[in-house]
Amino acid sequence: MRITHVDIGGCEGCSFVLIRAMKKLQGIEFKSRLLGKFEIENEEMIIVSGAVCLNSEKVDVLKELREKAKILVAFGSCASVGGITRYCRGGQEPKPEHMTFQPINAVVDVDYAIPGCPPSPRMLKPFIDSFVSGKQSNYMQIFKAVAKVKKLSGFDLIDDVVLQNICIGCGACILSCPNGALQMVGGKPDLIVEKCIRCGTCYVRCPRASQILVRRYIK
Amino acid sequence: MKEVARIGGEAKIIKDGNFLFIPTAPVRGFEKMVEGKSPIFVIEAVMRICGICHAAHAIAACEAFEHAFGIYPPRNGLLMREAIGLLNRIQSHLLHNIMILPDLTKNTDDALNLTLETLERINKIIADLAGAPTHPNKLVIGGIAKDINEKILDRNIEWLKEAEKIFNELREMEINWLKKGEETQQKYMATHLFYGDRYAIDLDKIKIQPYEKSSAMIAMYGNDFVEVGPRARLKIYRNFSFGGIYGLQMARIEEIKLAFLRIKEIFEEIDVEEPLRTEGFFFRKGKGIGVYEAPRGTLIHKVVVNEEGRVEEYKIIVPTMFNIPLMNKTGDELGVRMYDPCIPCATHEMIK
Repeated sequence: MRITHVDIGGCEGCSFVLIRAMKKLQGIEFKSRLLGKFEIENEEMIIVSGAVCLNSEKVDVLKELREKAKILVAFGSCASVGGITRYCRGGQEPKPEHMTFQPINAVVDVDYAIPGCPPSPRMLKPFIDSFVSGKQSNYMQIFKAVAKVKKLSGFDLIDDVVLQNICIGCGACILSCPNGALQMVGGKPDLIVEKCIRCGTCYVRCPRASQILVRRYIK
Repeated sequence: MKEVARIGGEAKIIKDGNFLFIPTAPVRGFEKMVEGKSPIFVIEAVMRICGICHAAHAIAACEAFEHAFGIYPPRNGLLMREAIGLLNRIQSHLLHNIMILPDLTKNTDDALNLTLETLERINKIIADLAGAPTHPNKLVIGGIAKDINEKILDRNIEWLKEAEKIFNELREMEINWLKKGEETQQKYMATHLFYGDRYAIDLDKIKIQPYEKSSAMIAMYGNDFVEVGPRARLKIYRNFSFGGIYGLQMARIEEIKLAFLRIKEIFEEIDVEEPLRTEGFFFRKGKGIGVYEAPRGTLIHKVVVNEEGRVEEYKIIVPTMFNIPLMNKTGDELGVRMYDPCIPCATHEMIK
């Protein structure tokens, strides 16, 4: 299987996670600009990292990628749900016009979205395996559902799970947060707001919230 | 316009009479993003400027805020911060190695495997000591937000030894591929061999100017273009000499070797009974500057904090801004790649 990676303006952290992970997967031909020049043709799978800047030519780049991809995957929080780029406000030299950054599903239809800042290579292996060997991972439905949402964060986790009193206090969100932005207070998760970078990892890892996603967008 | 592959980020080359290297990635605007925010958010945010030199940005930001607040991490905290910074330096040089290998040899398989094997171990150490291999969250204002004990130190010393052993194999292989050339006559700038020192250079002499129609700007020191990064550090602090463009890669390999030595030394110096973080401080009004030797060279973060303890102004000067004019002088793609430009970083600076 040929997998093509394109970064449209991220930090390159996700790019190197992909390189580390792909080297370990069997039967994958992996293309990335970080490893050498290549032409994008009609591809089986294109993995996009980085949020799309709506004030740039990246919008057209993305539309072209969608046309050429049988399966389009948003990889990492910026591409999936915005992540840290949710705080971008533009106005900075030398391109003050670069004001609006959005997850890529704001511009094109996305088939799967894998949030994380960056997602761990271990998350990627079962995902790719499910295409190569047909072995379905439990996460596939969740990744499909995340492809439909444009934002996910610790704030949403608190609103949808903790404040709704359906939290079971398992602590999965706290373990998953890449920033230590969640803490346990009185047996329930509490958000340290200034640490949340809106990457959505906690929401996906929460056994309750992830089911909310699947029910809302898949079933 | 020709796209450049195998560099961190997106850029093009123009060969119309003059050779010009033009970063083209969108400007996410981190200096504007952090205005009005809490210093805690700023550390998490600036780390995400770059997925390759994340720890370098976090350390420079922590240094800037500590300078502004008038606090200082305890000895353990500074030592551990230095170690994490050097681990990030190794990580970054190894990631660059993945990209540069096809320029050095025809059959890259063995070297690539050794690079990835070393990298896996270094990643494991950063994850254990600093929270995560990319964007390590234990780097905080006032030190390191993690308790440490003999057991943790011991296992990391073991992993480090493993990594060093694999790296030495890679090093033996790779130094044979580097061709010595004429010694280049140019100026260098560095502030420290391992960490960074805001008093080692005159910060007022740094001038920033717009550059072509790119999404980056360039920096000068006084009236000179200066090279920053591994070769500059070794030239200034170690009498390093290896002429020609491959000297940059040789410097990187030497820096990894030195970093291993220094990290081992640090692990021995850390006293597990002592704290890693300042106990109790509050945010106050002030101005601070953090200067840190990032993998690609001197990185400067400047901050102004208001009376609410929130960021009023933030400025970042990154190493690639100094190196772009020198990349243009090399006149070819190999030259550009040898400098290891970092586009995610280079697109985040402001006119003074």
